[in-house]
Amino acid sequence: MTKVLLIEDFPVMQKFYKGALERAGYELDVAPDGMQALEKVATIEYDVILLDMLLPNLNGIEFLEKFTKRPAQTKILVLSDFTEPGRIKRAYELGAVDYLVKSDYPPSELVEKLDEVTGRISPDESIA
Amino acid sequence: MDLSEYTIQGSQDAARALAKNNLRWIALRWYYMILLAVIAMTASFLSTLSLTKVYEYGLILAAGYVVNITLLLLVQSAKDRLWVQRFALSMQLFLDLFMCAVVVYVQGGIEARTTMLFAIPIISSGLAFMRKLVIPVAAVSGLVYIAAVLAHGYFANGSIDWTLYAVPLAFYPLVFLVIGRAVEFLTTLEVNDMRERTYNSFLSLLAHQLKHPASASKAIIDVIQHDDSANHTEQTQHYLQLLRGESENQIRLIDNLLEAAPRNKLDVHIEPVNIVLLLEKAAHQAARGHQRLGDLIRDHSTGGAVTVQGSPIKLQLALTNIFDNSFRHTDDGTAVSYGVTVNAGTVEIVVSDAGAGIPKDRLIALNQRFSAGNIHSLDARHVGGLGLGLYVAQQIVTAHGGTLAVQSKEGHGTTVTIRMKGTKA
Repeated sequence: MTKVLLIEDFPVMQKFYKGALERAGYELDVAPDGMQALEKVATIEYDVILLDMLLPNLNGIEFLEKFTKRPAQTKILVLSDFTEPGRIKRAYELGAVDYLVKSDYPPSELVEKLDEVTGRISPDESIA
Repeated sequence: MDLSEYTIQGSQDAARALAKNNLRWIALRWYYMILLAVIAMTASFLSTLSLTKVYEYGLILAAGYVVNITLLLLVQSAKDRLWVQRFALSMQLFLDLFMCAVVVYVQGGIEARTTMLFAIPIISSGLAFMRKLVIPVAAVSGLVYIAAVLAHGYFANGSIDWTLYAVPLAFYPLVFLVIGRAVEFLTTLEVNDMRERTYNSFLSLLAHQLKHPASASKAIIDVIQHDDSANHTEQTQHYLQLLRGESENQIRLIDNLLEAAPRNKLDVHIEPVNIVLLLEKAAHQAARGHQRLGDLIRDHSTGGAVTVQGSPIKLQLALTNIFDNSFRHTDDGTAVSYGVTVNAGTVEIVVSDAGAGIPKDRLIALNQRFSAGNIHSLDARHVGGLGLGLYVAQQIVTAHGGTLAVQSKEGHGTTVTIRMKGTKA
């Protein structure tokens, strides 16, 4: 089963993303801040990490800077409402494979995106 | 993934302004070099009737020309690159300081008899380039320099030979004036940059905080819509769809306001984008928002992937704005068609409707921010916008090096055409 780590501090989003992803067959783990996320990735190898940018303790960019020893299969997708180019560029430089705008990816569309990233479906099939 | 960042109009303007400034300094230096060399060559020839010194001055002049031509080429070849222009200005500053140090080292080497010939044209041309703020800088620098030269002369020789120091004393306040102005210009640029960064960070955070509740609402609606166990009635589904559409409208309005905010520099993060996929997403999102999925018609020529270099986030906003505009200005049941074609490296995206069309006087104002036509001339409830959509779309497309054209004829509908570089994958 595909292991996903959701790093998100907002309980409402945690709940809804978790519910939708688990229903879609993903094994989900949640970290409410960057520090706890670092602790989790130190012991568990995830296939996908969904990373919010505005987080307590350690923000998204700081998490990417500190999470340097990554397993080869781990794909990091940023999921944030920030759309400034500088932040996007920095996230890519630090190894994010995609930068998703949260408002464009409600739970059902995030599931489709994850299916595409993990190879369950091809991009063309994901068009609503 | 090919990652790069390019800045558009704002920073290019700043770079061009700095290039203009650089060219002025180069021209000024050129003028001094010719003036000083000609005077020095003539004076030394007349006094010694020998060409040895003339050759020496000629060599110095040639070296100065090589440096100046290099700087000129650098400044001219990269007028849009801010860092190149800053580098060129810094180099000039460094060279001027270096020259200043050299002349200080050999002070008194220039014949005292040419004092007046040097001083008058230099001071008069220096006055022509003066700016209010630099005068105090130059005055203080000049006074410090004069004090240093006199002190050096007094302590080294026990007395002050005025004929020896006259030329440097006349010359150096002006050098400091030039340097003072360059420093002032660089400082102004830095302050503007800092203000710009703070302003952009504030805008970014503001947009994030405003979008956050709307994103959460959309997520909650999405979960309710996809909850198979809830068994919603058709009417509930309809209401949920309306709510979702309103959330999306709110998010897009915030995005548009952010894009339309006045600023000097607009960055676009670029990466390869499948524009067909993006067009489909934008078309469906706008159609869903207006409950008009049935009115969407995809052109048959559209197929496969077409890649352009750009920001998927911004391009999607531009495309959604265009579709939203079409749905907003046409009645239910009126078709909105779209398509993508690629010809000789140019991607053409066309969105057209067979609606009532846009009156000519309003068409002119459509690509203006908060277009007056939208706000004042029409019933706001019918239009339902701020007049930002097409303005923002055009800004984004232009930032990607493309063009956006709107053609409309009353009674025949409206066609929006975007052209930008791209390839068929």
